[in-house]
Amino acid sequence: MNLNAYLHIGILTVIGTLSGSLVQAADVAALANQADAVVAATTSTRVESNSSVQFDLSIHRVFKGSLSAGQTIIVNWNRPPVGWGGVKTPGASPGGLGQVNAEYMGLWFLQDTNVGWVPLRARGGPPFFTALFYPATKDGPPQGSRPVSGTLGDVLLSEIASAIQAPASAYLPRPLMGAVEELDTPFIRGALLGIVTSGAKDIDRADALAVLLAKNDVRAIQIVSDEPSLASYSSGAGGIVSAVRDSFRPTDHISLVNLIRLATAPHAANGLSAAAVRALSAIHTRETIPFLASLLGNPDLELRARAMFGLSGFVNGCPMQTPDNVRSMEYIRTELPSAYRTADTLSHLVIRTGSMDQEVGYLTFWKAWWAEHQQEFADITMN
Amino acid sequence: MRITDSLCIAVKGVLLCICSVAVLRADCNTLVYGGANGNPNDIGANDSWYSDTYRLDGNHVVSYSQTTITGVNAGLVRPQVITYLYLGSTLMYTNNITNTTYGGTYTQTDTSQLFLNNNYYLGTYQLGLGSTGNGNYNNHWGDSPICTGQGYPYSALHYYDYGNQYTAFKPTITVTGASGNPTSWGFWYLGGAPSIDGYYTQVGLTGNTNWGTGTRPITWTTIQGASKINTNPTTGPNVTVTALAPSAYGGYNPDIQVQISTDGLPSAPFPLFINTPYTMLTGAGTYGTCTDIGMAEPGYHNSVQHGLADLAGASLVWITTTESLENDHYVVGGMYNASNSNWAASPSNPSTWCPVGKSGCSLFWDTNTSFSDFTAVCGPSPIPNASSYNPNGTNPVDNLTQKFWVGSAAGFSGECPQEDVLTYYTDHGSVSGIVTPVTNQSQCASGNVIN
Repeated sequence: MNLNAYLHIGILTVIGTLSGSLVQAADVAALANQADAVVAATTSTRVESNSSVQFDLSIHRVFKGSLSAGQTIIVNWNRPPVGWGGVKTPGASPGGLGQVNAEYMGLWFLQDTNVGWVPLRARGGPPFFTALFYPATKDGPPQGSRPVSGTLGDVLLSEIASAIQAPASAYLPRPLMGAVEELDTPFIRGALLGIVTSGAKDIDRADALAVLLAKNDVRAIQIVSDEPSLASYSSGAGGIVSAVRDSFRPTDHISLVNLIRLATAPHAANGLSAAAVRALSAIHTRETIPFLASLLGNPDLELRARAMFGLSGFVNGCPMQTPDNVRSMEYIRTELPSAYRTADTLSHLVIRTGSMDQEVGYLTFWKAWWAEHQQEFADITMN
Repeated sequence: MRITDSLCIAVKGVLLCICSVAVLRADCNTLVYGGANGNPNDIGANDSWYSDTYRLDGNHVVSYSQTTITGVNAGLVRPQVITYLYLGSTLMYTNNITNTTYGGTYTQTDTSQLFLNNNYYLGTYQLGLGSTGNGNYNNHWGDSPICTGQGYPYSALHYYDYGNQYTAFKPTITVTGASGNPTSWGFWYLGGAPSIDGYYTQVGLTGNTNWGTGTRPITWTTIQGASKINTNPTTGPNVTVTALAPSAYGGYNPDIQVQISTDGLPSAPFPLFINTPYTMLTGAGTYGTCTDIGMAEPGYHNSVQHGLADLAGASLVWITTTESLENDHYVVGGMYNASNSNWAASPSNPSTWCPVGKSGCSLFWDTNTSFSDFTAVCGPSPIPNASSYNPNGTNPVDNLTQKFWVGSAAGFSGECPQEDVLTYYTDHGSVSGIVTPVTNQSQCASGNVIN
């Protein structure tokens, strides 16, 4: 199996419409190609200043380049100045803290330059020191988890996956989740699922679940459906609720059943029910239509609007709303084949929420449409 | 014999023609009984006919049908035609006006307006529908009151025809370069900032007259939401539409419509929706020591995680976003002021969050849909020294007004979906007083502070 292929597919999906310099933080294989050396190494001491960090690396294993296991090298990073966003250093010019004795084990991507070894930045987010590496373990993955054959990218991904599956306290500070969020391989998914189903802290389980949901992992929605309280551990724009609401878009029967289960759960945490409704209305495949139609009589204006969004999107042949088409707004284009589309349905396409006065004509129309067509969906059972 | 020029007069029932080449005698007798030109079957009057329908301009179709009488007795015959104009299978009208002129060609011309009194009259036009069995043929014939009055009852043959079909369509609008013939379009308003990171603030539209070839007149009109777009140019097939303001927050469908017309025949309205970063979702982020972020102890850092949502509540994926920080001052009623603290004298720099890996940026979004804003006070120099992170601490030192500018790498440029108060406590940073959406963007103008 060529895992590298999986990696590239995932990354291209994310960055496909942007400029060509985006692979640096996202594509571990591309990083490896740029690097003169790729190593699993530990740093224990670093000296930080305003604009640079010098640190040591004790090398455990070498994946690329001429360095050797057991060797210690000095690496220099000319980082962006630390005077960014919200950081105050009153009474002093922005500056670093000097020597720091703190140990980090990771997968490093290094370039050999005329000023010595310099690191490539592995991840997005702020220019923290921890953005320089992916998680890794000293010994690497167990024998059975290593690719029998494959590219350097495959091997490195197995290293990251192995580290993620290591004790969460050591390798799952929340910022590292951003690193794997942009990687999508069976290794990574398996590792994340391992965290979710392990005895890890709930906050780590929840973060791993959020990442899996964003990868459209159908097992993740089953877990959230069974344990919706996990959503309270992973709030905000990168949490479970956001992942369900904005990213989770599988169309298989089981996933839809689980979304409907969450949408109708009386005590789902932190807006999880509303997020599930939004996901269903964004998906708006034929199977979702009876459920969405059932919301047309809901007392909540927003839920009725979401029902009409999904129903009118299905009838008029709009593509599913996904993170990939938010920018283009392709999801409001009535361009897919639809046997139900008419001039009337087109003029009642719903793309957002208005007031109750504005709603009347639309709601009346879609209730009438459903009354006329309900029998055509009688074969759908969502349980 | 060909008669090139002639002057004919009737004298006691006999039509005399003086010709430049020869003088021939036209008479009612041969018209009725034959014998013209020495041929017993020649009545000296030949009937020919022709019918046509064509587009006159963008808004008019002309139907044209003629009857022509030739021959030595042509001057004794009045050419006549009765036309039947059909639109589809519907008889629009009959044209049956008696021609009182003798000889030559007689024409019935009708001009149909394709758009009249807010009604379209589009479809397939045809003069005469007899060929289908569902309508009438045009009737071409001639009469001769002058001969009939002299006791020669002329009974011309009737010839029936139908003209060509002409099908008229509305003009249409397409999105330049788009596939699938979309019937509506959405694009973005970023507070006047230009397109960035795949968020387009303009759209190219193409007008198609759907008639004729070559350059035809096209005029663009905004029939709803005129203040929200600029269309340039306003005539011609290709225009660029630029967002000047977003669509309304409340509503169910697109609230901007453009239309083209060609000589007054309008297209269907083409709906446009102008989306915008409208609200922000702000939640808890991470926290830790100054050492974590490469700065001297003592102190803290903590972050809040932000996401953006559009007018329809959909979360935006990464787009360059910048904060502005204003009015850093000591918290009124707090323990600290300029005489016992130096915090407010050291305003932090504003951040710009970019899509991951974007060239020229150092600070990136964390995920597709979220970015983190850090607060940190570090090192031995702050007075008072900050202490380790404690979200429940109650000693605020200073605060400032924070505004977010979406779609721009500079503050006070782009769309401002949120303003809030950022407070530095001795042991944590906190966001409060969140205003989102900012329905009046002038609230975000420089100097308008809320702390």
